Amino acid sequence: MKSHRIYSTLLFLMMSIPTWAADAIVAQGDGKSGLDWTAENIIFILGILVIVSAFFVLYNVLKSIWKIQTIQRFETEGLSPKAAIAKFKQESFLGYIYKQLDGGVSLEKESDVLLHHDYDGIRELDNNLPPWWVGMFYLSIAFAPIYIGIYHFSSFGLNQAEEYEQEVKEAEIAIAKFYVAQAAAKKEMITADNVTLLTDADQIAAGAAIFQNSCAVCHGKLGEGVVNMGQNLTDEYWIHGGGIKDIFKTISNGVPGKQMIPWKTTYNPSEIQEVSSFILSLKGTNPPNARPAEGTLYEEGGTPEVPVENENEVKIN
Amino acid sequence: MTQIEKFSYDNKSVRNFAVATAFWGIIGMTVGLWAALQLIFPALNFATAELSFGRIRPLHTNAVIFAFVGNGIFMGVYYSLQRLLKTRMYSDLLSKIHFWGWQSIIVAAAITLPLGLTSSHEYAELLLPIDILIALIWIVFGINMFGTILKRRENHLYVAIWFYIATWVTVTVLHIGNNLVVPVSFWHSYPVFAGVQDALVQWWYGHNAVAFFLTTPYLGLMYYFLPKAAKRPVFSYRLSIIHFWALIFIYIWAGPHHLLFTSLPDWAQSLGTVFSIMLIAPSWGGMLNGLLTLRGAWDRVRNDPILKFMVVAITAYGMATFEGPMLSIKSVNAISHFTDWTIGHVHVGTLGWNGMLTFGVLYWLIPRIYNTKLYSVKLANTHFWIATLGTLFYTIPLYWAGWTQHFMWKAFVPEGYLQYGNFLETVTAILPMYGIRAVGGTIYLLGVFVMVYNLRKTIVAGSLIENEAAEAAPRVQHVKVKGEHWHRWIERKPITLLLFSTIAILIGGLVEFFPMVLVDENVPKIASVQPYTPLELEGRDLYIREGCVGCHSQMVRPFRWEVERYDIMGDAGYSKSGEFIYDRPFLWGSKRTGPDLHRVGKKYQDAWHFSHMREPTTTSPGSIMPPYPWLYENDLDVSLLPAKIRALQMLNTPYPEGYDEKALQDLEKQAAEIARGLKEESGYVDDLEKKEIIAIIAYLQRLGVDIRPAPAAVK
Repeated sequence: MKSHRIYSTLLFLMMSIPTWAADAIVAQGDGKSGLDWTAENIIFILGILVIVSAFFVLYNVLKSIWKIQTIQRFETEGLSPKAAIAKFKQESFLGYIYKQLDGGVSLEKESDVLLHHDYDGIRELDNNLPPWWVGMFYLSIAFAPIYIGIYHFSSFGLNQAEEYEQEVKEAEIAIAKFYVAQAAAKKEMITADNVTLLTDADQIAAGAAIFQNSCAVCHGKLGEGVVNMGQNLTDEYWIHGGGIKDIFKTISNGVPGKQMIPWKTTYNPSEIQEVSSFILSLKGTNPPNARPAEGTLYEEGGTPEVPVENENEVKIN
Repeated sequence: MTQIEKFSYDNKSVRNFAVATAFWGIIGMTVGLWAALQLIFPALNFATAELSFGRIRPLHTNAVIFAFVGNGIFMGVYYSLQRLLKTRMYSDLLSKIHFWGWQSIIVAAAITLPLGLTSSHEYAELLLPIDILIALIWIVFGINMFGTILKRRENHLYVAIWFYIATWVTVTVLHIGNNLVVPVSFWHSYPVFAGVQDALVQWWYGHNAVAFFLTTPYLGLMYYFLPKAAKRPVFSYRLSIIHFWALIFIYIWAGPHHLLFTSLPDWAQSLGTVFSIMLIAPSWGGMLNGLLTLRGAWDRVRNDPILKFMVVAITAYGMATFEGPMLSIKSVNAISHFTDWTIGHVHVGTLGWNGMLTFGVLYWLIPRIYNTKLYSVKLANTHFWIATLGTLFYTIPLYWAGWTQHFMWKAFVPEGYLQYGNFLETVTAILPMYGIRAVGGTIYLLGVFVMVYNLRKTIVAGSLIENEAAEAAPRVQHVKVKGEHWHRWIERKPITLLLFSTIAILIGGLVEFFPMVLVDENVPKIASVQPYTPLELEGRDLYIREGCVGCHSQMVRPFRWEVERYDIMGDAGYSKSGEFIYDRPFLWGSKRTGPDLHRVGKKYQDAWHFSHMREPTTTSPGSIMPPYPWLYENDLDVSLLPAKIRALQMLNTPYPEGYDEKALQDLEKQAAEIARGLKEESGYVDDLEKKEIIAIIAYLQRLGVDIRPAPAAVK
C-alpha cells in the first residue's frame, strides 16, 4: 500500500498548488507590497501547523484509548495484567487503523468469507465495504441536497449572473478606491488630460514595439496607412485630433462605429503614452505608398476643426 | 454429475483485436504527437488542409478512443467472455464481421476527418453514413455477446460481464441520441437540436463516452485480468455490486459539468455538479476492489511488470476520478475550463488508466494464446518505467500550463485593466510547457514501440492456438442455495440485468433533457437574434470543416475578466443562451488555444481577417495559428445551399417560404460586397467573391453582432 499512499500525498500536494499560485498572482494583481503577501502566508503556515498539531493530539488521544481498551480486552480474555501488557506490545496502532479502514478480514481468515463463486478460476471474497468508503459515499450524497438547497432554494447562494454583477461591482469600488489613494499619495496618474509627449529614446522604442505588434496591421509598418484599413499617421492631417492628448484618447477609447477598437483593455496608460509618442515621432517621415491625407490640418495649440468624414472608411450598418 | 462437454475458445478473434489494438495505438498516438508538435511548430502541417491541426486533432481523439481503446475492449471482452461463460463465442461469422467492420469504420474515419468531414461534436465527429455503419457493427457485437451469454454453461454472470452489458446498452443509447440529424446530402446534415440543447446532448454523450467507453468496459477487463494475473480472489463481492449499480446510475447525470458557467441554465449545471461529487465513491469502489484484491500479492508486484502496469492503471483511475469531481465544482472549473488542465486531466485517464491497463492485458494474454512465454520480462519492465515517465512528462507541464494561462487571463492591474490584454501573451508564455508535453508524448510512444517489439518476438517464438480446447459441464437448472446473496438472482437473468441497466442509465439523461426542450424559459428568446444569412451559413460550415472549434471557443463566461477581454465594445456582455438558437451544431468549444470568438464580429475589419487567415503572424506576431492558404484558392461550393435552407426550415429556422431558391442570390450579393471592400487593398482580384475566405469572413463578422445595440449613427 506504500506506493498508493505516496501517490495520494502527491495528489493532494498537486491540488494545493493552484491555491498558492492564485494567492501569489492575486497578491501581485492587487499591487500589495511584498510584506503583506509574506504576512498572509505566515498566517497560512501557522494555520497548517495548528491543524497538524490538532491531528497529532487527536491521534495520541485515540491511541491511548485504544491501548487501554486492548489491554482490558486481553485481561477479560484471562491474561494477567503483566501478560496483557506484554501481549499488547506486539500490537500496532497503525495496523489496527488500517484494518479498520479496509474493512476486510485478515488474510489468514480469508477462507471464512470466500464465496462459492468460481469463474474461470476467479474467486470472490465477501468482505465488508471499507467503512471510510461508505462514509464518503453518504457524505457525497448528503452534499447534493445541501448544495441544491443553498443555490436554488435560499438567498445565500448567488446564481452565476448575480455572481458576475457582484464581481463587477466589487471591482468598480476597488478601482475607485485605488484612484482615490493614488490622488491622496499625490501620485500622478496618466490620463488623457495630463498626458505628455515622451522624447526619451528608450520609451519611443518601447512604443515602436507596441506599434509593430498591434497597430502596423491596419496603419502600415511605417505608419503610412493602408487603403480601406487605417489612416496615414505620418502626415499633419488628423481626423480625431493630432495632439498627444487626442491620440492618447483615440487609442484608449477607440472610435465608436469605426474599426478603431478601444486599446485600454490591452495596454496600460503608460504603454499608450509610449505608443502615442512613437506615432508623433513619425511626423514628416514621408514613407513610400502613403495613404493620402485625410481629416484636417492639425496645429499644436490650435483648436481642432470639426472632423471631416472619410468616405473610404467602412461603416457598420 | 452430468457428462463433461468438450468445446473450444476462439483465440483468433482475440489475436486480431490485439494486433489491431497495438497497431491503432501507434497510429493514434503518433497523430497526437504530431498535433502536439504543430502547436509549437505550426509549419508542421506543411500548409496542407488535410494535415492541419483543426482536422487532425479529432483524428487523434477518435483513433485513440475508438481504434486503440475500442479494439482493446473487444480483445479483452472476446478473451474473458468465453472463459467466464465456459463457451465459445456465439458465432465465428459475427466475430469476423465485427472485427473487419470495426476496422473499416476506423479507416473511414481516418479518411473523412482529414477531409474536413466532421459534425464538430467532440468524439462524435463522424458523419451520418459512418454513424449508421457504427450502429450496425455495434449491433453485431451485441448479438454476438448476448448470443454467447444465452448459450453459456455458467449459471451466473460474473461482475465483468455486468460491466460489458451496461457498456453495450449505454453506448447504443448515447450513439443514437447524439447523432440525431436532418440529412442535407450524403455527407452533410444538421443536428435536430440547436444551441444550448445541442450542447447538453453533446456533453451528455461526451461525458458518458468517457464513462461507458473508456471506463466501464475497462473496469470489466480489470475484474477479469487483475485477479487472474494476481492469482488472488476479488476483495469484495458486495463492493462490486454496489459500485456497479451506483456507477452506471450516477455517471449519466454528470454531463453538464462540461458546461459550467456557460449559458446552460443554472439548475442543470447544479445537477451536473452534485452528481459528479456523488461519483467519487462509486468510482473509488472500483479502484479499491482492484487495489485490495492485491492484498497478499504486493511482493509479486515488485517483480511482475504486468501487475505493475495494472497497479499504476488503477491508481491513475483513482486519481482521475477524484480530480474529475473536483473539476466539477464551479470555482475549480472556472480555472480548468478552456485551459490545458483539462487536457492534462484527460491524459491521466487515457495514458494512465486505459493505456497501462491495455499494456498489462496484452503482456498477459499474448503469451497465453501463443502458448509460450513472454520474450523479455526485462523489456516489459523497461516499458513500464518508460510509460510512467512519459505520463508524468506529459501531464505535469499541462497542469502547469493550464494554471499559468488561467491566472494570466484573469490578472488585472489596479487601474482596472487586464494585465495581459493581448491573448497571445498568454499563449507564448506556455509554449515551453507544450514543448515538454511533446517530449512526454514521445517517451510514452517510444514505450509502445518497445512493447510491440517484445510482443512480436513472443509471437514469433510461439504459435497461435486458434481454437483452444476447453471442457465444462452443461448448465443445469439452478437450485437456490439457502442464504445466498439476493443479487445472485439477477446474475442468472441476463435480459433482466440488461433491462435494469437500461433503466438505470436512462433516468439521469431524461430528467435533464426534457425540461430543456419542453420549457421555454430555459432558453429565453432575444428578439434581435436572427438566422444566419446564406453566406454566413456557408462560412459557418467551413468553420466546422476546418475544425476552428478545436482551438476557439464561442462562449464568453460571466466573469469580469472574460467580458473585459472579449466584449471589447462593452455593449454585449457575456454569452446568453438566446444567442445560440440558430446554431446547428453549437460551437462553444472546450479549449482556448486561441481567443474566444463569440464577440469577434465587427471587432476587426474584413481586411484584417483576410490578412490574418492568410498568414496569422502578419497581424499577430508570434501566433501559433496555422495559415489557411487553401481558403483563398478554393471556390465556395454552394451546390448544397438550397437543400441546407430547406433542412433548416424543417427545423423551424424562420427563413421566408421559398427562400431556398433566393438564397444563392443573397449569398452572391453579400460576397460581392465583402470582396469589393477587399479587392482594392489585397491585390487579389480574380473571382475573389467566389472564394471560401469570403464566406468565413462573413461568418466571423456576424458573431455576437445581433445582441449589440445598434451603433449610434455616425454623423
